[in-house]
Amino acid sequence: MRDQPNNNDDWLDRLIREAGDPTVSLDAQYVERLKTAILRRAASVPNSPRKVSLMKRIVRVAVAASIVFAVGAVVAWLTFGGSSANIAFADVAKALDSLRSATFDVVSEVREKKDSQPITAAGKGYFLAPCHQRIETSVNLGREAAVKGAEAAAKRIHKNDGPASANRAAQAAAKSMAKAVGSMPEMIVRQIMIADSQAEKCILLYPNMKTGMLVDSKKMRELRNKPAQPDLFEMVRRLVREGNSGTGEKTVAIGKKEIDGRKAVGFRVCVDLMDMTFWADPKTAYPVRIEVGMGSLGNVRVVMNNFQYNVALDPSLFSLTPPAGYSMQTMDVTAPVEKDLLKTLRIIAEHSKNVFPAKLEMNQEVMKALMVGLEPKMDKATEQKLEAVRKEIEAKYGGREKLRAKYGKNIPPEIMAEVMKATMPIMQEQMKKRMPTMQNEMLKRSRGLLFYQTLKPDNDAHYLGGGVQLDTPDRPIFWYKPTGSQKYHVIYADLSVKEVAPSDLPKMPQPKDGLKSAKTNDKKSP
Amino acid sequence: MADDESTKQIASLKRLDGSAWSVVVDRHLGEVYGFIFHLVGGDRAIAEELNQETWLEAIDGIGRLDAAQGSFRNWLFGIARRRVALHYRRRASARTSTPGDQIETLAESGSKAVLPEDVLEQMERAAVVRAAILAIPEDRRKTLLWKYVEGLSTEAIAVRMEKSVKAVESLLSRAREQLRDLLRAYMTSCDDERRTTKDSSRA
Repeated sequence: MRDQPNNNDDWLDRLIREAGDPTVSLDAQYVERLKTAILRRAASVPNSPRKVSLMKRIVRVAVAASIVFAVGAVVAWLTFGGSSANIAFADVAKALDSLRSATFDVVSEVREKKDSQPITAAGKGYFLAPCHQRIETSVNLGREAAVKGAEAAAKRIHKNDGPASANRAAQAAAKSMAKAVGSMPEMIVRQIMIADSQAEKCILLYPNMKTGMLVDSKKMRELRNKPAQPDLFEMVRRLVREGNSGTGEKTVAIGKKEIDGRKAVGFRVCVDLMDMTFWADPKTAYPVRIEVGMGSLGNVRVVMNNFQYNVALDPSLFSLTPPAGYSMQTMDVTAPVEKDLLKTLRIIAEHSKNVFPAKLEMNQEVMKALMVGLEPKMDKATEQKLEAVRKEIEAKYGGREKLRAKYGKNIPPEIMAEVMKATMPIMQEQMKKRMPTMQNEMLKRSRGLLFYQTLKPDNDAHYLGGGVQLDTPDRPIFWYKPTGSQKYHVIYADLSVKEVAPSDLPKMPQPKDGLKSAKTNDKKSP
Repeated sequence: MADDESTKQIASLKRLDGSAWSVVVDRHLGEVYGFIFHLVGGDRAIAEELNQETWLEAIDGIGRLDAAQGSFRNWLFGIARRRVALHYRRRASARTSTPGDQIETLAESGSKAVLPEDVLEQMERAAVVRAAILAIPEDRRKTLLWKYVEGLSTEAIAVRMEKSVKAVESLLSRAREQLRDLLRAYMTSCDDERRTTKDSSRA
């Protein structure tokens, strides 16, 4: 049979005729089983991971919101060093001397990435001379999170199609989700910060949770040896005052600009972690807009505008007595120490595939690592509630399997919105309960960064851990000279610490030595 | 080069879009299953198992498919060929040691053969030909079957397919060329066998 005729075509024709119709009938049950298995595999991350991914998104928003909220607290930590004055800026400060009160709008935003949509906390600020300040901000963790979640999911799903297509898909998903979740319950988380810069006291209140935090600003001042918790206007005055003494940072005039239909003159100053821009009315010298950028705290930006001056304000707005029914905690304002840095470094490395971060600052890489594990753990009752709600919706569409088989991962936005509408309130409740704990945990985890950031040039700190594997033997990643000490502390990749004489310090990386891949993060160089 | 349609389809499959997978399952399940069924000598249980493995491997590996390098269908048949070859190699491994890597790379190598020669030698000709016919695209396959199995004239096929006679002739020509490529290795192995048989009988 295995002969090949001389004529190739004839041979082929004969083979085909002999073979006959090759079609094989398939057993219907087998086909059904196989199709289910195939589609299940294709949709192997459908409903429950969607819940997880949505939850993660909400957690990210909530943590980002915590960071936005934490800006107030960070301002307390990192009060200004001072500024040199120029005449116009001094005029602004002088004008503020006669200020009785002010109100202004405040918007804090944090971006996960430089080009991503910001998560914003918006609110109102109040100032009452000589030293009282109140800032109320709120973050919406409801609809906004849903819309942003849909946008992010669409981008992820369409990422292989190219950036333009992914962006189009994201916009369409956001639009569709915004329409679908129009009636979804909101979850507004509010924070109120009330401060008295003369009494050196501050309280943070969370009205949703009826919780709050007491901040001992005096302790902070002692720790940092700098005035703590100034109000915005006192900040400006201090910049001028300290600038006049010749010890402060340089304030740079940045020209004129029209703001809200009014001409304004601008000044810029960079202090510690903050890059501040003041825009003032040239006639009254009162600020009309203040922008604070905090690059090292993720991509955090605070904008204050719409200032109204010398308005009547009720002094009770500035009461430092916690409202009745609030459970208050005291913020840990002890100085962060070397041990905190070791702890923070370990957390970051362990959550970043055992590799130390490129820089010791609250950038996206570090923030992501610090946030790992902050997801609220659901109790059984909540899980059951969520499952029941999901089942109910799935049943409307013929059951989970049918939904998976029909749509795979791409559940239409209207069904997604229906699931979210029903499950969000349950998850929001979890978030509400968890939020203060999360914020506390985040502050604890990031104390090591504060330690590093509060080191002064005299401490001669150097970070060389970028890209180094945790537990690499004999690999120095950080050293500094503790205040008052003649010797240095060297931290190694296994997070052990050795005290060494200056002559025994590790060499700084040179292009040809073994540390050439290390990224330096030198406190001396800005 | 893949056309726009195919590129779009592959993009949807890569997104693990359930409806896109549903479409390709409906479109190719029968022919892939049939291809495997013939190559495993009509053993339904083995065919079902290998067919399932083929599809699941496709889902797991879809990220590696480059739309510019070819169609999903060809890639899927590549996986099926590798699965069948592995099946034979595993079966033979008790007796001989064979380089599995050779099989692993078969699907990606662009080989036009139905299966590697050593595997083909174990099969009946009709089964190999049936599998090869199923491996060629549907429109080409239909023209071949109508022409040689049903005995239709080119004109009759043209009417049935609502195409011109010239188009059908072109399809037939391409179908035969592809089939010849698929069966070349098989025929080579047969020639070798024939030669070996002749040599040994002379000795």
